[in-house]
Amino acid sequence: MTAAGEARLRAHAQSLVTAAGVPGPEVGGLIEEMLGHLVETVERSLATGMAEDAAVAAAITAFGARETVGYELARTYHSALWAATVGVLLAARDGDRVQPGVIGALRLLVAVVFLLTLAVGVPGILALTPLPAVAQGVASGAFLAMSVLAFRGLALGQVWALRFAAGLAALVVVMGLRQIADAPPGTTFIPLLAIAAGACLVWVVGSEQRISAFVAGSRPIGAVLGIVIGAALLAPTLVVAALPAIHDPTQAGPGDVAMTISMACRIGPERPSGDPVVDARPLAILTAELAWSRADVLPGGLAGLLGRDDANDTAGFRVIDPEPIPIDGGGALPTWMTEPPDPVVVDAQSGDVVGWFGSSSPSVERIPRTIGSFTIGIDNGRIRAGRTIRIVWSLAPTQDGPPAWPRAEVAYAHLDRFVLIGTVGCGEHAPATADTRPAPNQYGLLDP
Amino acid sequence: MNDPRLDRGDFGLLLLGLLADRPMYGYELLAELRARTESVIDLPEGTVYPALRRLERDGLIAGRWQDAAGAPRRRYYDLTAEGAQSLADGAAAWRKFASAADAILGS
Repeated sequence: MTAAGEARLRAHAQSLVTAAGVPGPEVGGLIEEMLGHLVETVERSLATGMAEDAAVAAAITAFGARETVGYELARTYHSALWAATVGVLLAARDGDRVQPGVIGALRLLVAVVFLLTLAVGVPGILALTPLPAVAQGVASGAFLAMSVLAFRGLALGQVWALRFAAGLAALVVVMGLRQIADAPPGTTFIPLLAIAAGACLVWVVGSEQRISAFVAGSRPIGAVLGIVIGAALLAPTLVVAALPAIHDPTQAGPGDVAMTISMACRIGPERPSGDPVVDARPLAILTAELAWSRADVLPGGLAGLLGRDDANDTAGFRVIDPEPIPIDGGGALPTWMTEPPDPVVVDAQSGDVVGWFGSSSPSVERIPRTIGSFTIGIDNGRIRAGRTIRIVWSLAPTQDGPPAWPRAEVAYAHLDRFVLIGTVGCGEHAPATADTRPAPNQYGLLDP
Repeated sequence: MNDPRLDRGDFGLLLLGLLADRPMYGYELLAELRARTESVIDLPEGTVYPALRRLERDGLIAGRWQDAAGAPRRRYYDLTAEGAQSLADGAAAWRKFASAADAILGS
């Protein structure tokens, strides 16, 4: 037997062992044993007068289909699940094939999308609340794992990997078109990755014959695995689209907080802070109390736990009666404004300060527009089940003369989740209810 | 039939039966299998090696390399005591199954 013939047999045994993921310490012995078998088969055929090429081909055929032997090897060294999935998807292939350029381009596309998903998707998942984070994590994990398999499967000439890559390219093109459609007016958005993906698809269509030759003989993987691959491809996109509609039961809703507002009005012989006496000064003490029966679990995701989340709650008020006084040249002057001391926000049970005057959190966009100084930021991390947060504003009229006692609207935005809102007048005590107006609120101080 | 040794896709029991006679290497095992079953049982040859590895991992057989004159060295397999016991149990289970099947299908 010639060295060339033996080299063919060794390459066959080696490819079987490699494709099956046989552990390193077993590889050498297994290849030697299989090679010995193949050599003995060929030698016996040669002894009958068969030509070496034919004898080698016959020995390889008799040794069994790559998929069959590969599966047996896979289930020997891995779990049955691994053998039935990865072992099938990455089964070794017969014959020597030259990889067309378009296959290399598809592999590059899969690799780039893999890296982008890893770089962008993982930080995004860390900022999600538990249920969406798990859903998105599973979906992204499945996609990433399938991308790795497809990357290797393409090199092996597996049809399923080709379809996965083509589907991914189509998906990238669709997402690029959507990004163009969603771009703000007056801006130009060039989806480079989508253009590259579109070019790959055109290349695939134009290389049909070369691709067919490359994947010829690739075994069908079965309907179940096909569905799994399709699901892994689409899962991240579908989960992202469904996220707004997913209610996370680990997060508090409007029903988990009772908000009451009250207002006490009087003509003050002295100011609330104990500062020097001011004669007959009208004062309105506006109070909002929020009793939480349940708090969010990881409201800012793991990123919030690591202190990388600045999202907090916002409370604000506006005096709706008497109405603001329009100012020449635009704008309006509220009829009542905050007076010293600064508004306070405390844990009603412990007295601990749990917020600050002047909210800068994104949740400020969820409440009706007020003058910025009227808002209170509430430390979201200080919200506890069974605790009550109390917010107190001291108000005084901006106009001299007999007081026209105020009626105020008070709003509380819990992150970007929900808004509670209610109105109260002097001597009144009223509950707030969930605000059903679309967010972010676009109505302002002078809006109806 | 709930004996895993009798699974249709696992011919480990047959390999144990062949090795009960004498130590053999892979090629020899397949040749013997064909001869003794008159080629009724003829497996893809490459599948015998994963099967032998599984039996060895389970401690039912023990492999050892042995030089061969004018040929690559060969890995011979011996039946272990545990393998002999497994063979006895498996053969009894098979005979019981065959007898039960024969009660329905026989004559």
